[in-house]
Amino acid sequence: MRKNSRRWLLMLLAVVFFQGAACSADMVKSVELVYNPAYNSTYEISVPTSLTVTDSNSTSLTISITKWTDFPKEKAIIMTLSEDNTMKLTNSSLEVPFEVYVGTTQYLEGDQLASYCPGSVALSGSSRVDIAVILIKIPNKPESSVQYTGQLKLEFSTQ
Amino acid sequence: MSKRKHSFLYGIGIGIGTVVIVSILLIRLGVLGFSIGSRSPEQDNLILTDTLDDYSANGSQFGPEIFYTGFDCFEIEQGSKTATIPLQNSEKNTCNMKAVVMISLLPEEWITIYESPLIPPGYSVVNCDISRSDFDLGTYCGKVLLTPTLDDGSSMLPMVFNVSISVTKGGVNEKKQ
Repeated sequence: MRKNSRRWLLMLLAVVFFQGAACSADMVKSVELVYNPAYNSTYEISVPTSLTVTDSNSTSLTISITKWTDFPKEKAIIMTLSEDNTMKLTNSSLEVPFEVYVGTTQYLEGDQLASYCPGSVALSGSSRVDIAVILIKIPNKPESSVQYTGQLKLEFSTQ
Repeated sequence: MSKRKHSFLYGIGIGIGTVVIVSILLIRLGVLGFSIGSRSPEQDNLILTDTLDDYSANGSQFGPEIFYTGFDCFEIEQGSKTATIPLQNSEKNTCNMKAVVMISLLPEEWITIYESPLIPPGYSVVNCDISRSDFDLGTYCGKVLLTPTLDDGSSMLPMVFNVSISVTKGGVNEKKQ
């Protein structure tokens, strides 16, 4: 009888012990932490006001980034040749087509000309970085020697 | 006696006239803090941007440069007629800048929602009064056209910045386009 009651007591103690252990395991709770950093990225582009195109192959236009703030290292500034470009210089009814190159590659309207990740250098900065040197070429010299003018439209976005 | 009174009144008249002329000159020069006739930048929701101390621009190899400030996104609170759009004209420029903000609610369809006044160099727009406030929640494609404008009214090459416009309610943007 005594033996039985001792066994019962041990069993009761074991149950209480394991129950307590189970309860304390249940009390450990984890909280998931999620952090999505917010960036208000701004950047400054420098573009020459005008460019005189010559017959040589060396008429170039340098586009630079001169300042950027709050740029994560994965985010890039993309420069594209706007689809609105006519790719022509004009003088009233006269037209002269021009071509755009970066290096030896010719680019057409809508093409991406360059990309640059400012954040790969620093989150914010103000040092000048030339992102593209665009070459303007006149493939065929016009017959008329009048002055031709036009615009080169560029678009910028981040990705 | 009458002669003395006359010269006294004459003196007062000259004094008042002088004070009026000097005041007008001071007002025109902006010394008293306000101007008459032309709108000040502050009246056009423009504020002076912080100056940059690391600037050293002597122009590029092709003459003077123009600096365009781009950004990637901004928010519009649903139903609000004003928005905070980071439009600014770099203090390095010598010309004014005009900004036009467009939104695309449908593919290939662009609606102008804001045209800025001429932004002087070093200024940025504080609150933009947008032309529409009936946007659904979501993220839309936007375009910001920055056009340098000379004093004679002629404009130079506009630069296009593609941005995303988030229409939110209480900072929450539920629906994606």
